[in-house]
Amino acid sequence: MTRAPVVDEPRPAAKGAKKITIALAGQPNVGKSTVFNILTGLNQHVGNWPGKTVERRMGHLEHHGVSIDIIDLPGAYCLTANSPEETITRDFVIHEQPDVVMVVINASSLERNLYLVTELLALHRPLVIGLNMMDVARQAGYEIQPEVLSAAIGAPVIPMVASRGEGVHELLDAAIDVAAQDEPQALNRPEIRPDHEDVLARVQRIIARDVPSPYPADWVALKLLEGDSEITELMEYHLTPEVWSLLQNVLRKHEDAIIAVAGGRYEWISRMAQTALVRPRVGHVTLTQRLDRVATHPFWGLLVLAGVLAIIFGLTYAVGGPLQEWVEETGIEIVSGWVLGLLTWAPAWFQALIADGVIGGVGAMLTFLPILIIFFACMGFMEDVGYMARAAYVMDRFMHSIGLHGKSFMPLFLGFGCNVPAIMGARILETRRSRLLTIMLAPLVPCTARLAVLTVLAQVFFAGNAILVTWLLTGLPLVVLALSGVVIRQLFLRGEQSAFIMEMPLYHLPNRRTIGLTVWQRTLSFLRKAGTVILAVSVVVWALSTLPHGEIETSYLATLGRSLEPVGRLMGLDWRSVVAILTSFIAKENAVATLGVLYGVGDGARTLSDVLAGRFTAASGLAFLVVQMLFIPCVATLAVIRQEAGSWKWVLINVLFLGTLALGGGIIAYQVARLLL
Amino acid sequence: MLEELLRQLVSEEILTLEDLARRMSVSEPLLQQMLQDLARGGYIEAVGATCDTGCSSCDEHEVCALVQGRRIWRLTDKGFRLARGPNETPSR
Repeated sequence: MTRAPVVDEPRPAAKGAKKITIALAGQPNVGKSTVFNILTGLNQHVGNWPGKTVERRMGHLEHHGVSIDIIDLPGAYCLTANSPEETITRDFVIHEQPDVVMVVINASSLERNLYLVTELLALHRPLVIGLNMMDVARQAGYEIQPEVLSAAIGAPVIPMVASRGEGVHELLDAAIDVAAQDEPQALNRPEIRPDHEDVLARVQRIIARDVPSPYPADWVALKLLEGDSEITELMEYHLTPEVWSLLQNVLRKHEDAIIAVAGGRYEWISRMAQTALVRPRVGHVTLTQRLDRVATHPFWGLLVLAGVLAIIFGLTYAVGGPLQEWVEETGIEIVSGWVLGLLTWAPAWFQALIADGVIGGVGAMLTFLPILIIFFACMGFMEDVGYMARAAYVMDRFMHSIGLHGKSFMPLFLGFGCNVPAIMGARILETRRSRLLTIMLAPLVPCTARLAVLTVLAQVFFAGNAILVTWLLTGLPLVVLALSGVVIRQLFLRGEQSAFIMEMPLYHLPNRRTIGLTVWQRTLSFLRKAGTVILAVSVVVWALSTLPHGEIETSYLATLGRSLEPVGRLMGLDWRSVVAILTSFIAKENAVATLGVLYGVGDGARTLSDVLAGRFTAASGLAFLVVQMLFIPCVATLAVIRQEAGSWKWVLINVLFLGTLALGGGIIAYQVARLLL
Repeated sequence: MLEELLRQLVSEEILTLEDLARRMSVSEPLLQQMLQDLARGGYIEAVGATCDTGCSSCDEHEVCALVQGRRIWRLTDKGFRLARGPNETPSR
């Protein structure tokens, strides 16, 4: 960096003075407050920084005959004025000109913490560095040589373990010594990248006469090159229009100078780390890193995901299955008998509506609540320990490996929760073509509702093999999605690629309360749906299956269902099953409720599991589930497709695309399974 | 170093911070700082996973671990141009 025109002269009052001011700086959570408390004890005054809600702490102490005021600056990662903390820190150091800046850094995260040091060095105040958390750094396998770091920076570096009080008074002694020195510190500051030295010098020349005191001119020049809005406004105010215009021209031509300025800091940090830091030996990795080596591996990660899903489904069936059976066999009977007992006064049609429409539909769906609660708990557990982000990451890597990727990643990623935000997430894509293609594919990502239906019905159709079937059918739409992606990519999106960087959460022990809350909120959401959409659809399905003569076989619904039965027959499905699939268009869970209504399980005499086991073969059950997993999305998703695509045409295309896919998949599944099973 | 980081992003991959830190031979916390600097300059941007993608209207958004507690960064056109040179434009 071009040498600063500002001389590092400590304030005259500090030389040999008996009263000094120390600014205590540091990034958040580095132990700065511990140092402040040890040094000042009870002599503290707490208030707010003027005009801010950020706490201001000042303290006083006497040490070796020197009267010392310490100002505890708010924790700041850097001095870019992006937050009140950063602004307060840099404004204090610039305007109050403390005799010494005492910066506390975390030894176990040395490089990141040195970033703040690079910014403080540019402010030309005397500096001492407290290298705190040396014990944590040693445990993590880092070896740091404070004296080497001190020589490299040109400022005292004091090793500390502030939590045990170690090194704190040595740090204070070093600060007093620095304040008492006549000669300015020979600090080794970061330099701007060599190819931008001329630009920096030019900016400095342009602003040299107009930089208001006490701002260091070279620091102002750097901040202008970085595009710091506060400093840019300051200089616009102080420069004449002609000089301002000249400066603007230079800055516009070098709008990428921020890379050269910040890059210089990183080069400096890298040099310091290479000089004074010995990294952990190879193999010394954190638990999260160790687990991620497997969990996010392109191949092993997929196996882990498959295993985790198998465990989730296994646990769900092992624990939830018996509970569901009990609720189904005794719960429905009890509720049905009790409700019908209360309705003896009511007309027969109303009793039938309650028994067959409400209890048969919503009630049948609710008997699966134990299975869903266990499923939600398993998912909540995996989310809470930090695994679900890895699962999504591994899945996307898999899609990428076979060609489907690019900026569709984010929307598809969101689809695992719900297809609605997935469709809306396609807004981040720049071109209409990629947006539309992503919108078409997003409903193939299995959402929570689809998975819930699969989990419930696989248990009914396949009992002993439910885990395997659920596991395979969860992967089915993803494989179809990936294959569609390959075709689409080759035809329409060739060359569109972009990297994403995901910040993964750390693995941690599960928290019972968090998981409980997750289960509660999801169950509540399911119950809300059962009490509204599913209830309404059940009543409508019951009405259409009763009218006009009170006989299901001659009802309007039967007429509609029978007109579609030829298609259903290709998949081994009767008209009732076809209608159940159609009603899942309103909400996925309706498939189960409609089966309950149409097979008349509301009287409590027969359970849905018994009825369906008698009506479905393994092949037709499989076909039903394949159709469920590939079928057109729910009405809410289609409404969002209309909104985002701006035309009903795309809704129709989506319905035709997924409808054909589901039908084809169902027929193939049935015909192949019939031969094999 | 920042230009090297941008070049790493003109790939066809999804990277975790750990992947990238290993490639760049820097610590993850420092890499996060580098990403902040690149974002400040408009070279990369955090892809919001909440308000701008409709999650707030979703029943599950309170508990959805997919969109909580993490950020996803992507390269902007400005970042792409700097990494690849002024004559190249990102394919759309």
